[in-house]
Amino acid sequence: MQQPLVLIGHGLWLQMATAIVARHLQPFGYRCIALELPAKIKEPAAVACGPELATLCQMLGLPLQLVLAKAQATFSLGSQYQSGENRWFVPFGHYGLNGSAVEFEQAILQLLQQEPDSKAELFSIAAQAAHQGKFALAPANRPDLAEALSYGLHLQSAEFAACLKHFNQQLGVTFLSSQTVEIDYSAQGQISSLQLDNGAVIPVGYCLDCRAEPTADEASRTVQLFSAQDTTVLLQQPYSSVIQTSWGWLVRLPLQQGSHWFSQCTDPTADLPKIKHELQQLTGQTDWQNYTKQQPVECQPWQHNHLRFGQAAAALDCPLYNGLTALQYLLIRWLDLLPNQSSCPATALMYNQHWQQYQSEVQDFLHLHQQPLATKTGQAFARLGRVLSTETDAIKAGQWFGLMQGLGLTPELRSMLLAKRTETEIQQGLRQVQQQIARLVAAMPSQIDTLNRCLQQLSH
Amino acid sequence: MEAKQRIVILGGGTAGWMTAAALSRYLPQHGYNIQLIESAQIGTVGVGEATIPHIRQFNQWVGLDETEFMQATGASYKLAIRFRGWGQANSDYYHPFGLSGEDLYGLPFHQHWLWLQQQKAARLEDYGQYSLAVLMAQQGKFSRPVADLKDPASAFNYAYHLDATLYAALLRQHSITQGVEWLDGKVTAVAQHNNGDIAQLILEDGRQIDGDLFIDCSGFSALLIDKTLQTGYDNWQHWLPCDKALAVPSEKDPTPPSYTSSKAIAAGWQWRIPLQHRTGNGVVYCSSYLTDSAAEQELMAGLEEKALAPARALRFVTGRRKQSWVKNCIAIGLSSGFLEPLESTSLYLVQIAIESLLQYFPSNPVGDIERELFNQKMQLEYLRVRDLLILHYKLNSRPEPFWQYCAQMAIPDSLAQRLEMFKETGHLLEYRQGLFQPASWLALYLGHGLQPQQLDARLGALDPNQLQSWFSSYQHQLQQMVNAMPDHHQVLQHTELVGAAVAPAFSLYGHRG
Ligand SMILES: Cc1cc2nc3c(=O)[nH]c(=O)nc-3n(C[C@H](O)[C@H](O)[C@H](O)COP(=O)(O)OP(=O)(O)OC[C@H]3O[C@@H](n4cnc5c(N)ncnc54)[C@H](O)[C@@H]3O)c2cc1C
Repeated sequence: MQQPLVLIGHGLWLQMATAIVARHLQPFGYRCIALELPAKIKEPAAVACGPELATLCQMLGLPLQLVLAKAQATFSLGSQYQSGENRWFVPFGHYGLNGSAVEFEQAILQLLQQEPDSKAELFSIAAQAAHQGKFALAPANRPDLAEALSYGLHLQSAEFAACLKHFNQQLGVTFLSSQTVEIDYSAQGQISSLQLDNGAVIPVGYCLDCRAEPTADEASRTVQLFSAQDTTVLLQQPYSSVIQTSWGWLVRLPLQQGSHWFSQCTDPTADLPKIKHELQQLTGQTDWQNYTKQQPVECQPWQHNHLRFGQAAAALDCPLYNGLTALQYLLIRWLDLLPNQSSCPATALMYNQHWQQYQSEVQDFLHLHQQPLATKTGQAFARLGRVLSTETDAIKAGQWFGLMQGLGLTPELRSMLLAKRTETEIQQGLRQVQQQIARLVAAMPSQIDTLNRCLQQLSH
Repeated sequence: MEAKQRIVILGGGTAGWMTAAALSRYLPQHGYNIQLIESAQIGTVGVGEATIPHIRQFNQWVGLDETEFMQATGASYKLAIRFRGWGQANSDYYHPFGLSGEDLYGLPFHQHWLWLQQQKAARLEDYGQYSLAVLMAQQGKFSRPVADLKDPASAFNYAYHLDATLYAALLRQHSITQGVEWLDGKVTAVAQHNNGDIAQLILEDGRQIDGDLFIDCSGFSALLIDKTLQTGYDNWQHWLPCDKALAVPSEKDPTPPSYTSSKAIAAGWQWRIPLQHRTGNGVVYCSSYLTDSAAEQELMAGLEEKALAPARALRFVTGRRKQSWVKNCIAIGLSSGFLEPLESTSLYLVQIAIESLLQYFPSNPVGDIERELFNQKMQLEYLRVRDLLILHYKLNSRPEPFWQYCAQMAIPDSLAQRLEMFKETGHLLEYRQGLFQPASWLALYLGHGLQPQQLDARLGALDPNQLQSWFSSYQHQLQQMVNAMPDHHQVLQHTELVGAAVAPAFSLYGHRG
């Protein structure tokens, strides 16, 4: 490919995309150009990233300590849900200590039926650690714990973007900025060049478009967003909080200094003052910001040499699922296929089909939050206690299971693969795991200690 | 006390006994009564002897010890399928149960290999030469794989060639020990409840067998799922036009290869499956292009050992039952569909059906959800296998009219898109559900000599000499490993030579796969 890869957009999404692309392609001598455009949508002040971020930082060679320091980040082992009196934890990591243990979740479900007061999270090391304010990276001599202790981060968006921009500049990325961009297309529908407000023309091999706002010709829906900043410091909370409201869900992301609340409402008839009132009651915060955004509904990201990653990711972006995670996925899967030609329709088609699967898995997860039994996934769980197989890791197995059992879906049928095991056998097996988890968690440091150690390592 | 749930399995072929062995292993006798009816008068299809690695997990699952199993079924080890004459008349490649090479610079190995080929690198070997499984298969060696992912020996897996009749007998013995009731009798009528559920099977001698759940393993006759419940059939013959087979056993090969052989003939292909005590042979052919007598001539001429019996003729219609689970009846095995044995996948499909049945095991009465999930799962599995089989035919460039038809026929969109993508960029997109990952698709694409128009954009930045040295030393390392392995035929006699047992990986390609 002769022409450069040009990334366009703004803020965190542009910087993240640029970092991934530039780092991947730097060893191959690629030239990347990042074109910064003005933001049309207000970026949320904080974001929650899943376990992909840690892997990504490692791939980028971006020290975790640096991210923690620069972006005021805290760790996240998952989310603590609250719906009325009901509380439960949805971990990123799997339940039990051995990810391939056969029918482990089924054993938990059987126990819960026998002992309704018991809780699934007793068998999740992430949940146990989270409740005790503990956090540790899986030690090098226990790689088997890495999955169960999968973690994400809560970060301050603008600071994280700045940190990535610095990283990108060091990688030699050319940064341009413009108030506007004009896209020139060839007769075949390819983007041939971009024109900036100063008249400069940039030739384009591939245009990686990280803009989140839908174009006029794309279907979109109106979303009301609410956010508030809270000064309470929650360092004993290595997790996000998710609270059910009358219109949906409210999410709280703790940072090193204070925390941020987010919620969104998609019902066009919603009574906004009533929502604000409920938000105030739930959080004690009075200073709620409310703004409207147009959210793309769906998007085929790969169209000729125009990769509409921003729009595709934005179609999923909401307080319960961060679009940044989707953006990372889109980029990495695309880089896996990096074509040498600007037109490869079959590859684009397959890629877009794969993206549809990712998208539908996330949407399914989000629908579960609204009407669990209206989804096939919820119905299958309520009948058989099984999480359906997925084609991607958009949502981790622990998250599916944690959410559905927490929402109160209890299976009608028992696992036949456990039918020959006695109740006592199953209970004993589970208790052993529970004790092992309890011992491991007892020896774990608090999130505060881990954070301090990480930050000290950086200053040394 | 609740009444026991009565499960009736109709059919005592491999599918019936695999089902009986697995259900009796997991369902407690106090809650379930399992009966299996077969008819000695009708007999079984008697073929189905080449497998893929998943069978190891099945055997472990039902509690069969490998040594006992190998002895009881006269089994040999299988590392690959060798395809001769596919593509062009002189082509010869392996589809191994293993990966080739390693990812380099974040790019898949095959991209480098194709690129070096384009650069006309002098010491570049055939793609298969970078696969441990292929080298072992070619050189008649065998040793068990390992689980340590750093070791190249974790990048392959193995299956078996087995005697289908002996395997069914072994599973029967196991099932009966686990409480399965075995009945010999021919079902002549089926009684249904008002809602269409099957209520009872009526045998020729007048016995009436009541059940709550019926598993149709009656083979091609599909007595319950089709003759009774009239589930339709998706006919795939326009994509996979072979419709007949002839099977013949021949004497044993004293040094049996550790691969299944598949050799293309004028209008189909010939198989060779080496067991410890005999060799299984047969042809699969298209009767519109090859007469029965010509097919038999081809078969007999292609035998490497003396035939032990006359050839047996079989007919089939490639395709799949529209639903595998209808009402209270689940079809497993040939009753649920037929895909020719080119990739030895039928017993795998039986295994997947059994596993899914256990995962989605119904209460009495059956619920729609488990039925729907099971049907979706089986449909996906069939389609994935189907597409790869079609690819074998589609990619050929042989001159015979049958092959010309196959090369020109329209193919399913799912396959056409996958194929086009490879042709464009040489890249593949893997899927998680269903059999055959990129390694298998690649074995076929490259085995047939398919050349992508372009390769990954990053390759141009690499130094071909450096890459070539890596290739050479990697290949050398694999060859050294193979040199140190025992011969396959020795291992069959001296089980202590086979290497330490490791838990089977549920992948065609071993723990790394
Ligand atoms: C040519 C050919 C080659 C093959 N090669 C392979 C291979 O290499 N690898 C592989 O995995 N698979 C292969 N297969 C498929 C494999 O043979 C079958 O999947 C496997 O044997 C299972 O068959 P089955 O048990 O479903 O049917 P069958 O073996 O036909 O068994 C049917 C059973 O139903 C009973 N039955 C039928 N009707 C009645 C009745 N009215 N009353 C009572 N009992 C009845 C019969 O007695 C018999 O016991 C091959 C198939 C063919 C045709």
